[in-house]
Amino acid sequence: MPELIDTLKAQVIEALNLEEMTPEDIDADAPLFGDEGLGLDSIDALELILLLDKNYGIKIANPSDGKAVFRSIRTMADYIEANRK
Amino acid sequence: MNRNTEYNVAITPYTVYLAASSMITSMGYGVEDNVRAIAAGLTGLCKVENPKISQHPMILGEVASSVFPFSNGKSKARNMLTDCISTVLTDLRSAGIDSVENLSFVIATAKGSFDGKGFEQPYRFAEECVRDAVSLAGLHGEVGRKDIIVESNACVSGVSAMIIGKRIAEDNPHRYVVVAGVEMQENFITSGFASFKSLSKGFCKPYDKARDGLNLGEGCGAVLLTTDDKVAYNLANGEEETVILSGGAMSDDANHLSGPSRTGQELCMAMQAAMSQAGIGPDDVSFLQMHGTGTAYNDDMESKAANLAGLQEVPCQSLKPCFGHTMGAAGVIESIICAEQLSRGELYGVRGFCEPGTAMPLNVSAVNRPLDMRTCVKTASGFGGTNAAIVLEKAEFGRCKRPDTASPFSAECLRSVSIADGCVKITDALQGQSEKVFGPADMPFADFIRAAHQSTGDRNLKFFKMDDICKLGYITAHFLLDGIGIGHPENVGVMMTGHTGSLDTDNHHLDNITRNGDDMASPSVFVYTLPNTVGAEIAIKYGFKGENTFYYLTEDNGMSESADVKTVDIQEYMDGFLKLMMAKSDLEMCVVGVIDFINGEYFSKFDFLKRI
Repeated sequence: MPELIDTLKAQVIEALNLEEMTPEDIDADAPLFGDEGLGLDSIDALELILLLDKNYGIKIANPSDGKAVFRSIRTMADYIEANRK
Repeated sequence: MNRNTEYNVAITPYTVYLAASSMITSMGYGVEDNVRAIAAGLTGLCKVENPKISQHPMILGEVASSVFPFSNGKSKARNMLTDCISTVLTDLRSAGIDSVENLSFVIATAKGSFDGKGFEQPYRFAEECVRDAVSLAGLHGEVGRKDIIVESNACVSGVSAMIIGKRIAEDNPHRYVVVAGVEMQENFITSGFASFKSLSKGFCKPYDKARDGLNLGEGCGAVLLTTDDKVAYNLANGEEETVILSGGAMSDDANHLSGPSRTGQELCMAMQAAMSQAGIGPDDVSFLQMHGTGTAYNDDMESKAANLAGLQEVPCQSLKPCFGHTMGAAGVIESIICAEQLSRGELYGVRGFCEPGTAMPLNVSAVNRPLDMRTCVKTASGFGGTNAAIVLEKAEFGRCKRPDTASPFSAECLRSVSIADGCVKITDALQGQSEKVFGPADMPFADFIRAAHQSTGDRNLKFFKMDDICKLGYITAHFLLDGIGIGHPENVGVMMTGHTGSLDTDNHHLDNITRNGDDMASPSVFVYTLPNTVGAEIAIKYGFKGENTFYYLTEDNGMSESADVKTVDIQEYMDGFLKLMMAKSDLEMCVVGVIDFINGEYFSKFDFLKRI
């Protein structure tokens, strides 16, 4: 699981063009969206849906279903562990 | 060089008539067939299983070969555009006009012509269709490039083209402008919208509580706008039947590339400006036709705008359940149907509407019914936050409202910035001399633009999510506007032109889906496959809510002088046509520029104009 979290941080940085950020800069439990988060927006949410599909074979059909999944890196990792193909 | 240009702009210009129209859609060939089908409650949407259009079956408004057959090996967009333009030109000829003198063309498309491998350069594609259509209709003379305007403003393209056409026509009593919008569907577009999860699982249900997204469509529409009332009456079978285009305005949400304004304020601004130009108020509006795509956010935003504009009681309509979302063609196709409803005294219902479900109330019904007609307001909204609104009126109500006066328009250029060959240069109006403010930096574009960005001290993280041409535009705008006091950003517009548009990003998206399949389309790449995103990013950064447009030029238009009818001098284009657009708008200030980016090669030159 810690390995998945590190991998996921790197993948998120790449997918969302979070330039000048390293995995060390991201707290696994910090909110990704919202004012305290990384300032992600609706397009970033869609990119995270694509990331889950491309890298882990998990499909999320509805962006609104993604809200709970993408709360933090840790909730993403939990979801991947539970659903990966 | 004196950069100040003056015009005499008629405040109350000549009346602009919709004298003729043509269309090809999933519902049929020709305006008559389309109107008959809509009145009969039909739709052109159906389940399409065509791997050249989408990887997975989807509900889409496809122009079937039974509706419009062709076998010349050219793209569907080319065939539709040439056909629709030649139809209205044939009408023009039948009314006694047989030369291209005083004739201009405004062509609207989001993506243009896909030839199986990639997109044709949009200006060239449109230009060739115009020349072929002129030839087919048997008109004499050669159309100069100054008389062919090609614009790409995402989903508002069609309505903005109507506005641009009106502006070109209205200062002269014998002026003819063909406005056409065209769009074809294929994997490039369908995969992108699928990645946005904005497609309905079934048939779109605009304004309905159960709405779950949009359906895509393809098609073409063309209208003949003219100030020549005799031609208009001739083609319309009499004065009573004629419809005029009496107002038009554009605005920008300056909020987000794909998410619309939360308040609807900016769309309301465009509606009110269009109505004010037409000299009408909410009580004069017989019906309202908005974009109505059937997505949660768009329809909510429109309901807010309509309420802010005092139009919430007016019967409200969307034609997307008939045609699907035909993107660049939508504004023209749907405006034609508005005009038909006005002259026939019939209002068509919103097919499939059951239960209201927008944030603010709207007057929507699924029922077709007769209605006393006077005027309608037609709007569109699109990616990049653009909005456009026009007023169409029955001629008997709209003509001869105000006395004919002319007003001088003048604009000065406060500052110019150009970026090329690793250098950023500024020319200040007061000093009149160029100064290099960054560079020379002999390095690849990615490093150059990053270094230039760092030098500005800008801390906007969104910069790194932009595609290369938007980064170039963003940095050019920074140097252009740095230190200039802008009192009313809501009255500042952005008008861009260029040859390559979003081609570099288009290639990126196309390459991705070709290799990895439609399902791997990246929304953050796709959102930049529209050239108007350059202006949109600038508008978002500075809160510029004025009109935001992109016009294509072809690659052999340069920055040096040429008297050739086939060449457009870009500086002259910026000082001429684009300033005319500014003169006709309410803009106090405007960013006007040329910008190009392809495969690491880049060029930009922006001017900041101020009305004086």
